[in-house]
Amino acid sequence: MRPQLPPRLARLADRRPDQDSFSSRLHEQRTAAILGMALGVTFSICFLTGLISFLHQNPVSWFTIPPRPAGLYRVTQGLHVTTGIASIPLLLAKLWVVYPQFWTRPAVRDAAHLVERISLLPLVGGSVFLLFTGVINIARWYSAMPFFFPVAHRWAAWMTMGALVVHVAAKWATTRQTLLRRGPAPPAEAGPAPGGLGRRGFLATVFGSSALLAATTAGQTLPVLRRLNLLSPRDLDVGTQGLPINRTAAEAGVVDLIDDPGYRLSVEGEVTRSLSLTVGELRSRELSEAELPIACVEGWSASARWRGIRVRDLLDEAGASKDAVVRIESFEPRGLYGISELNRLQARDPDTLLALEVNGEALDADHGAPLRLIAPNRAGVEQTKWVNRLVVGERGVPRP
Amino acid sequence: MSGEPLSTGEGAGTHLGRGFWVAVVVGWGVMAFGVWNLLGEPDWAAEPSGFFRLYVGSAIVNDLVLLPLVLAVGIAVSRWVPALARAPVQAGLVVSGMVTLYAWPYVRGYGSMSNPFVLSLDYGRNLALILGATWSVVAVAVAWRLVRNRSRPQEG
Repeated sequence: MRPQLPPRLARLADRRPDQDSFSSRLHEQRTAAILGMALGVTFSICFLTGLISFLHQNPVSWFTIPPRPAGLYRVTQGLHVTTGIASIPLLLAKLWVVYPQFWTRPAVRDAAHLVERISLLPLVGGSVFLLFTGVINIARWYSAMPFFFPVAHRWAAWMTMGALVVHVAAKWATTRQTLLRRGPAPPAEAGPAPGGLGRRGFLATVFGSSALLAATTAGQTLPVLRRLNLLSPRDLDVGTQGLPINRTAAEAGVVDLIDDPGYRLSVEGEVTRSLSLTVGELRSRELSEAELPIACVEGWSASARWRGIRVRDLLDEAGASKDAVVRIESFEPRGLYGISELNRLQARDPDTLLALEVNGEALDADHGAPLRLIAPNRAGVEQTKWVNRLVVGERGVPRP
Repeated sequence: MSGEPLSTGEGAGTHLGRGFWVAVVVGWGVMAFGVWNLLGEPDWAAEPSGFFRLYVGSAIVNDLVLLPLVLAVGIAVSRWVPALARAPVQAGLVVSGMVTLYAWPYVRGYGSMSNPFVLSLDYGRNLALILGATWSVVAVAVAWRLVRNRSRPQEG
């Protein structure tokens, strides 16, 4: 039951490629299955670490993020970004290997085949979309994205994972058979194009490309790979006071506000006694030290030695309840990141500081002078800079 | 003999039973959850028309532009590169293509430079270094194959 096409179109349709038009011997089951399995692993890692990052930035009532281990977010988010980058060669190679299927004839065999094929659009589109937007976001190519990156990337991930469920179900049996069977020998270096890459050589090249991209970008979070850091957006030495900066004082519009003599840190809300403290009064208090990383959602992270006042001490002094959440507010006039939330565990952690100093120096304006929040296991965007207000018993604000 | 073809031909797909349909319900449910939430976001953040244009466009560009281009390069290589050098050249092209594709926005400086501390590496030079190293390895591999090939007939 072929639709009636005008003769010219019909001729064109007859001449379209089919499965046999592709001569490389690498368009075969085993290569596809191995790359598919690898992508299943990397996409699952990215999805789970992405969910963790979402929960960090959009706290939910049914799960309180623990402040320990202190470097956990650094690991999960570094893994998210590096795994995403390493997935690029795997995805492109997989799509190339299975490309003859795109032209398969008959185009639709039955209802299951139709649903399976329709589900490939959200799968292929979403996979390319996720890796593309992820890469251009860390490359700060914002003009290529008409939408707000975190929102688009997050919901595209759900669409892609949904499509992946259908795809895995459709391919499960074939993949299992292909991988378990002692299959036919890998395509040898013979055939229509002698001397070309066989399966092993091809897979080694693809996985090698992944490893190469991971190795030349992970130096933005792993100090051991610093010397190989050729293609990441960050050089960990470049930044004020030797630490990277995501948002400078100038970008936040706070340059003229930092030395305001009228500055006070206020602690208010559900307290028995509100506090209002000048910078001098803050400095004259007992200061604590903590070695904590700034761990950015973009995947870079850097550790520093911070010195400041324990949030816990201020809360006790104000008579706050021991299981209170705290809203941290900044005096930065612009942007989405002027407010964050400390959950009850984070608020009581001895390393949760309002820092006045970093690495033995007074905090620079770019790092949030006069006072910034720094706490264990927290996303960089939640380490609020230029803090002037703590509201006890209030949640943060939902963020798109 | 080459590996098994991608599809088992006529009748493939008909083996998909009830498990597949359960997965379809779950998978399309998860997809609907994503779409529903996206459309529930403020318009400035989600920008649905731009979102879906890039989403669907990603699949189309991949299937109808990028892949045909790669296939054309593949055909050129199998036609014009001598068999002896073919595998190393193919491997070199794969590595170069992947790395260049990733690095391109950095090399071209498409990123916003509102912050002086980001994108501070010399990406053009670094990409050149990686490509140089890659093709040095390719050259060594080709040379090694040449030597091996020459010495073989003498043994026999």
